[in-house]
Amino acid sequence: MSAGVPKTERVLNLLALLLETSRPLSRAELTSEISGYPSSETACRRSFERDKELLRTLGVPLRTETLADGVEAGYRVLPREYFLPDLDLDPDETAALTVAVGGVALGTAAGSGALLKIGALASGASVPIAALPMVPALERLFAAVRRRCVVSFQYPSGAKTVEPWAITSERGRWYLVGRDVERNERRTFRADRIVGDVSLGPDAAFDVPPDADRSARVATAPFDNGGASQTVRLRVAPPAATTATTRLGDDADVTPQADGSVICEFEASNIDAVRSFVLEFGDHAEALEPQELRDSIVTWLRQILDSECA
Amino acid sequence: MTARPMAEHEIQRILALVPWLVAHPGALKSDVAERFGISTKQLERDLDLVLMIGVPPYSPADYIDVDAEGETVTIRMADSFRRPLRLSHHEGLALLAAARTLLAVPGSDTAGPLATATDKLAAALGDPDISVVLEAPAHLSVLRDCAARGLSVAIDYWTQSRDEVTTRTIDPYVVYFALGEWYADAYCHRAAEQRTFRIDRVLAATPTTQHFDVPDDWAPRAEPYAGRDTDPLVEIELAASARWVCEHYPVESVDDAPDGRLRVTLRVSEASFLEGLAIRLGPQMRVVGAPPEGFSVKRVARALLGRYGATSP
Repeated sequence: MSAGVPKTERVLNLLALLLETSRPLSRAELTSEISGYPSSETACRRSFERDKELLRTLGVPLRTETLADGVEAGYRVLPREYFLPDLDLDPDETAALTVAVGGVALGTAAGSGALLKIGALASGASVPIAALPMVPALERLFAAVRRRCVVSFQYPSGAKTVEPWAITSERGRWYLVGRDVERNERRTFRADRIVGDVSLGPDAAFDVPPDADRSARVATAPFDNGGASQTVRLRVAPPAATTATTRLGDDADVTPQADGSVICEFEASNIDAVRSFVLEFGDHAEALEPQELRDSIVTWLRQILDSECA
Repeated sequence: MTARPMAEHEIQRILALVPWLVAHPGALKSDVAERFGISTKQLERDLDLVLMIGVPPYSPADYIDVDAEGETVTIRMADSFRRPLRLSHHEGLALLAAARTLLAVPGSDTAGPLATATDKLAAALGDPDISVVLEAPAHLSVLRDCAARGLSVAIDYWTQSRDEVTTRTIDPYVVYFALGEWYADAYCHRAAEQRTFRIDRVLAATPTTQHFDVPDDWAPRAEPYAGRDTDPLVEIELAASARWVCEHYPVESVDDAPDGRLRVTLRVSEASFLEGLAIRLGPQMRVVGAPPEGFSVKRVARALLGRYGATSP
């Protein structure tokens, strides 16, 4: 009999029943009520597990609760969690979102799925004006930011536990900004560097400090290693000036000079990172201050010559 | 298991289809099919499935009622699926990210329909803290404007790899943001071919009065700067701490080497590019095998040392 009922039909009926019920239903209740499940116990359990997983993949907020007997799992979907609150979009707004999804290459089909749900036309092919690929960890991080759950994940530098404050995209990459619980300080994590799964703790577990700095500050963040900061001054000559100042963004004070070069001033504690930045522009950039930076560059270049001569 | 993505796709479509049909009774089948990107035949198959959805006790009144005779379709009694499915986190994020990205593009209408739609969407999603920052290099607005109006533009352009500034006229076909930078995909009159320009390396931009048309056979580049097949291949070894090079530059291959080091091959058009990389990376990089012609880290290091009033050892 199971062969006669398409899977799509079975899953849609399962969803309808989960939405309709006023109390959580056990697997036995669900699978006996809905046609299409195999009669063998093992096969039935397996099909049900797969259907559950499929519903979750589709974004259905399937709840698992413990039934009155205290042992068995009961399932249901609360309509208020399932239905999209009315967005009350006017046609211009729907059209604008359609254009946005067509104009931004996110590297995922999620945008067009969302368009279908808000009743927009599936957008035709267009040339994207911005590419901002999403990464796997983002979905869970997004949920955690919404629900204020503490997250744990593996990062190249080790296991992290973080109170997530915000997700931000800067310089074409996605970042998580939050409080590193172990180190008790604000930190920025690159979402694409997160290895494997992100696990979420209970909801509403923390409050974002009202004065929290939510920006990733990726321009100068590499220049900050938590140590004492010094004022850095660089001179950058014309061809490289725009590139350097665009890169430094708002975090640097830029003073144009009569000869067309610019003086960039900013705070930094990681002198090695600033050295790498200066050297990228070769002959067009010179570190003026602090002396420690100039010395670091000289030592670095001498080492290169030593190893080349060896 | 192979059937699964198919079922997923189908269910997703039906869950979007039903509430839309409830809200638009008597819709033309052909319109519905077009809107959901399917054939009319597929729509009819979907509707056959919808007919089978019901809830206990499964009396005729507990099924979705589909009237699909003729050219139109009407759905009633679809209580369970009357309203659209909540956006999944992923979809909500995708929509917000796309909207916020466009809003971050300099010159976008921050009070128009996109802005108000984004606010409504964010509110419905619980106002998650998601922001998108796009830097605006100096001449971005001129180039975007010329691309939109189809005007050729004269630019001074710095080619960093050759450290050379040239003046040229380009037809900017499209201006876009990728890999953290703004680019113009353009026809270059000087090179007489299609080229990609990084906008932060444009030193001056003056619109001309000359109009251009985007050729019919033009296709946007997949990547802003893929190495050219004709450029020589160079093999380098990188320390684990220099892995960022593989993410930052188009590399041909990356293989693990002992001690967490990486063997990387990349196409190098100019020796000066590789010199710059070697100066930045120091002991973290080593050229394996023959370096490109004219490659000399020593010369570059000496010149830079002179800049700091220091002599070479």
